[in-house]
Amino acid sequence: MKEYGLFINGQWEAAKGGKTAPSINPATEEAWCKVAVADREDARKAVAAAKAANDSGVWRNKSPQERGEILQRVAAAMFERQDELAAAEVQDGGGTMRKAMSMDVPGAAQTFFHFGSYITGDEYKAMLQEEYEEMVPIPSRNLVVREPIGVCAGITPWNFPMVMGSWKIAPAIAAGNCVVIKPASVTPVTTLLLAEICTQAGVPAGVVNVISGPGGTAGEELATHPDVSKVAFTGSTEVGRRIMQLGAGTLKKVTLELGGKSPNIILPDANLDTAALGSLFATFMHQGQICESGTRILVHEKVHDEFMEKMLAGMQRIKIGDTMDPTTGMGPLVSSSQRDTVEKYVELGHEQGAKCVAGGKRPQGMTKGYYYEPTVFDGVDNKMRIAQEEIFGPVVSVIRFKDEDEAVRIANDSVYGLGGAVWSDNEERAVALARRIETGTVWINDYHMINLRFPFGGYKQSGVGRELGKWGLAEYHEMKHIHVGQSTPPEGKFYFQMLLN
Amino acid sequence: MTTVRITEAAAAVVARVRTQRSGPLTFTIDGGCCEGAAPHLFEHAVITSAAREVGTAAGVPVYLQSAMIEPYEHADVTIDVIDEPLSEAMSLETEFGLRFVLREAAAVPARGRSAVEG
Repeated sequence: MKEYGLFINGQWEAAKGGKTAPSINPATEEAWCKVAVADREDARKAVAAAKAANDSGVWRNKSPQERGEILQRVAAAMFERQDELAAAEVQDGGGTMRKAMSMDVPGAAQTFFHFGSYITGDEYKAMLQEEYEEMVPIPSRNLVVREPIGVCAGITPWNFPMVMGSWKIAPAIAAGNCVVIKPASVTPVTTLLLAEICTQAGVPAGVVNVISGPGGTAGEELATHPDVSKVAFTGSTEVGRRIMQLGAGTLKKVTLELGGKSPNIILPDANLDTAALGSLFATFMHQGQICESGTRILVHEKVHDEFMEKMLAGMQRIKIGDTMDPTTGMGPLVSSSQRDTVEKYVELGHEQGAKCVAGGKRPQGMTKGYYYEPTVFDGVDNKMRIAQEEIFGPVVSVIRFKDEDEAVRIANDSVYGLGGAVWSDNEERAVALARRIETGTVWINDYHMINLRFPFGGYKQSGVGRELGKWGLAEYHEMKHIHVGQSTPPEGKFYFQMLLN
Repeated sequence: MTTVRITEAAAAVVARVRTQRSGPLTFTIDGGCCEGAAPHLFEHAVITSAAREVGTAAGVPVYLQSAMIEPYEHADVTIDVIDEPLSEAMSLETEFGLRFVLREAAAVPARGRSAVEG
């Protein structure tokens, strides 16, 4: 069986305690490889490597042009190893090969390419140094400059390990920082491989370190270590809250991308064919294990029946099965405990009186793998627990509304505020509605269109800060104001008189 | 009233954590994203007025975070423990390859109006 170590200071290493754990393929329920399990000591070693690389200036002192070229080489190297990366992603996390080849690998590689090319351009140059003339109280020249923060930790979830790893690594190192990434322990392999690829493509040793290990030890160490200046986390709300608490000890910068219960609003003038299939795409991609999935479909009562008919008909086009088969659209859930969670919520949906109109059970005849059918509950009240709590599985709640005010009220009646959509033929009306929705992203006549150039993140309890785009890149910089005063005799600084007689 | 219980196995894990950690322990319950609703055992946790204490488990105070207060208002929950060698939670039992989970007795109807409309 294949074995993967930890990737620290440019090389593979065993965990200090020698511990390894098998990674289970969710489609077969069998181990496909072994991965080293880091503890507190390994986390410290990785931080020390990152700190040493940072302090040496080997990376932060390179020009953006040089760093950008290396990042673009990382992207190219990922495409060269795309078969290996895709196979590892599928076996680790249970996504489909179709998704891995069309989204995970290219999406992750493009993240490196995007930030790699962005930092070679004029817009980034302008971000790195702004200059202002000021006349008050006396003339001065003022520079606002941005610098790397130092050592940044990234903690990522199991649903999109490679893409999330890239979102944490690429902008951080583009800005000149050094990173320690802790991928989810059930899906660590592609992030470990990414570190190797970065090193082979010319990123100096110690700039990208990856360790896999439990949150209670390795994670806690990263969130508390005084040499870590920033923690970027994607995952569950309570872990995010804990990271913020632990980071408070040394006042780390923290960005968090957490849960969601995103509203997907179908207006009566929507193209219902597209909206119906789009709603399936919004909820059942990757078995619903996406933080910004459109898990609450809010449909206008006038078009409810027609929409439901089209959506349920569209479900015939979703094939559940072997993740390696390119015709498969839906694979298994990531783990047996994740399926237990989904089953608990389906039971709650029934008990609270929602009407299950599709799915609601494990697929027949599949004896291996953590599979679950795409499930639709109609007649859902937004107060029901299936409408309030994030299920993180293939379960969608359909809620009717009478008018736009009611749609907005229901959409915003959630502790979360991550994503959402509005489907309508009237663009102006849809944009006006989008502005009233309290979420970080709203798509109109679309879903899951996260774009590397634009900010992604949450309102309310869905997170803090933004990733991606120039806004996300800015979060990986410290900002400094340099006041350039004129060299004058003392009388030129008239405000000295506040102190001096 | 939310009722909170803990299984013997989970209580034994709390005792094991106590041998490693000297600071005050707290259970918090919250949901969101990759884990669903789950109990988390932390040392020196900061609890704000947004959370609500709903009981104790193995001598450890248990809090619902704000988003959980309403849905779990009448819930009867039991903190149990499972083998999970690879958890991403920062809960302290993950150090032992274990994970606390929330078991619920039969759910209760949604608050407010009756469930199905039309």
